[in-house]
Amino acid sequence: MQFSNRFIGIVAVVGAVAIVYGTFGFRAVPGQQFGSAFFPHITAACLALTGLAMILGPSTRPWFTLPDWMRSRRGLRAAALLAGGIAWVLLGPSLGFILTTFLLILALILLAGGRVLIGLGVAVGLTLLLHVIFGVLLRIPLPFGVVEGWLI
Amino acid sequence: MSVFAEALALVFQPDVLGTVIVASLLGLTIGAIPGLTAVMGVALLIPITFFMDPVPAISAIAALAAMAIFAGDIPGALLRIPGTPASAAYVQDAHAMAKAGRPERALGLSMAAACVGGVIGVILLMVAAPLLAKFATNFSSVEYFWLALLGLSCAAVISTGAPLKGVLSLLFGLWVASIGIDEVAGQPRFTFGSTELMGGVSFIPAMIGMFAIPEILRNITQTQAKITPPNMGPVFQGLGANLMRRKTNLLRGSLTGSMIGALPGAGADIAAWVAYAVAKRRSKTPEKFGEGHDEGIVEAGAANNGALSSAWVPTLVFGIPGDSITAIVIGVLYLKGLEPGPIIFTKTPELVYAIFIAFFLANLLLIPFGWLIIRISRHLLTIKPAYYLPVVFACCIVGSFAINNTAFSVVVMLVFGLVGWLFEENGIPVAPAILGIVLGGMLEFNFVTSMLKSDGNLLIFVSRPIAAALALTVLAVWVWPVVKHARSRM
Repeated sequence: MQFSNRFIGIVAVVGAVAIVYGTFGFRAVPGQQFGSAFFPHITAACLALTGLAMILGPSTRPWFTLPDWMRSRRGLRAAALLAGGIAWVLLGPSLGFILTTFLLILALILLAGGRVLIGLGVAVGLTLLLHVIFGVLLRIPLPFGVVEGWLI
Repeated sequence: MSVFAEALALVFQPDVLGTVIVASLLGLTIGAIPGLTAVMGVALLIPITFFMDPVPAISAIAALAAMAIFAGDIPGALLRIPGTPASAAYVQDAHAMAKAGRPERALGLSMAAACVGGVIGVILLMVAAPLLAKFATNFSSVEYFWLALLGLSCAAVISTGAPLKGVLSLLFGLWVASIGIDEVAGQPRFTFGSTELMGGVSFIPAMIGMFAIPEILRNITQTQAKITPPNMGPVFQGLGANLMRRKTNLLRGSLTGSMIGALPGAGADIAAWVAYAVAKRRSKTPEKFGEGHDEGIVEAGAANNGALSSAWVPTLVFGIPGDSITAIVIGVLYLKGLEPGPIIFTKTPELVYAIFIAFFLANLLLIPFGWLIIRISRHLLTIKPAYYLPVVFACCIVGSFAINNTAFSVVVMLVFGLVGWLFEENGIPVAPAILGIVLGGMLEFNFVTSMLKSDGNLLIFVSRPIAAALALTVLAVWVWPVVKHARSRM
């Protein structure tokens, strides 16, 4: 997804305004000349200047270009990857680490054009490996679910 | 026991050596797979090193990075796809040599050059770092402010093709660094009422997202052609004689790389390009470059690994990252309670020497491990991205989760991944943003502290000779692209 330099410049200026707006809620510390808003204001000023330079500079691209792959099955793969990450966050606590991670890896392999049997092998192997490294050896409290219950 | 002996004892422990071997193999695999970079490998390793002692953690990072940078030459030579950006400079020559039926010669040369370059880089690190550290003990907040600004300026202005976009990336990083409780006034900033953001944006998930997700997205959306790597002959046959013939290139590349790497903000990629250009300019046969000539491979191959080691000079001495990998290292050192800077040389000298030894070890291991990966690279390159990309993605998720034991870190990783991908799509470099996140706190703290000390008088920033010299250097970094632009229009 490509944007023109002018569009990026406008986003930078809007971002700078938003940063300054965000500092309005900061309370001043009595006796302190340079409070919490001081540095963000400098950042915002530099951001606004950079944005203005981009707006005024040469820009040959159209405002917005959608790459070809986004309209094809490959675009679906990218969307599925991000959706898979969100699904892991949402379903992890109820399904548990092992099942969620296994399903995520298998689904992405199949969507990317991998074979079912190899996909199953990779998904099972890697899920268990990650569980052993992080859950058993490093003792990370990974989301607990049905499969973890069977393993104990 | 002397400090050096203490450091040797720290490194030559079974757990440290085991960690180095595993990290090396991981680095070789990541580097050899097209599209997976050394920085991404280091980013993925961090969640595991998070739970280790400082010596094995740092040794693992050093070993993985050194191996991955070399292994990046393998897909470059065999497929004309540089495995890491640092291999891009001489990919044309390496591939032409492989096409001419001599892939083992191209890879053997780059392996040996990487080893020599890396060792020379470590020697520079061992000599320069303690000397600079002694000098830096007199630095005040003003000098540290300028040093941080110099590192950020180099990363944003010099290291990138489009300085304005580099600056944009840097400012984004500085804003992200200001999220959370303000160190000076103790007030929450830009937290949007989230308690998770009170401590700031978790650096590791953000970094995993920005470095790994764009690469996964880019690779998963590409049409993959069938790969048939060429056959490989004996790697060591004639290698010594070939290296001796190119000893000037080897030495010059190692020194060029080591010196460029030691500059804040300039890394292995730039070192390789500069060394390749120097090799071409100094060559008696510049017309052969790009057609399978070995001078560029040796010189640039030595430069990128030399830069990798010497990038630790500003990292350890000033806490200013030399490149993206050392930006991650600084984050790790802080997480381990070790503040990089001159104090680390007096407080924990054994640790500094242990890092030096680990680097030596990693670079020497390049020969046996490099030979191994060259032998099996044909098989590695035929693995379909459909299988390894989902695996890398799962590692990103679990790694991010493991840092704070919370799903919020996974969300941070995904958000920053999306930002990183948008950055890449629009030619905005990611490295300045990461450096901004790492150094933003230090920059603000030293700036505000200096302003408070001087009661708002800006002259404090040029009141000491070193500070004034650093100020001039920063000014030159910013003025240089403007002058270059004006000249090109004349």
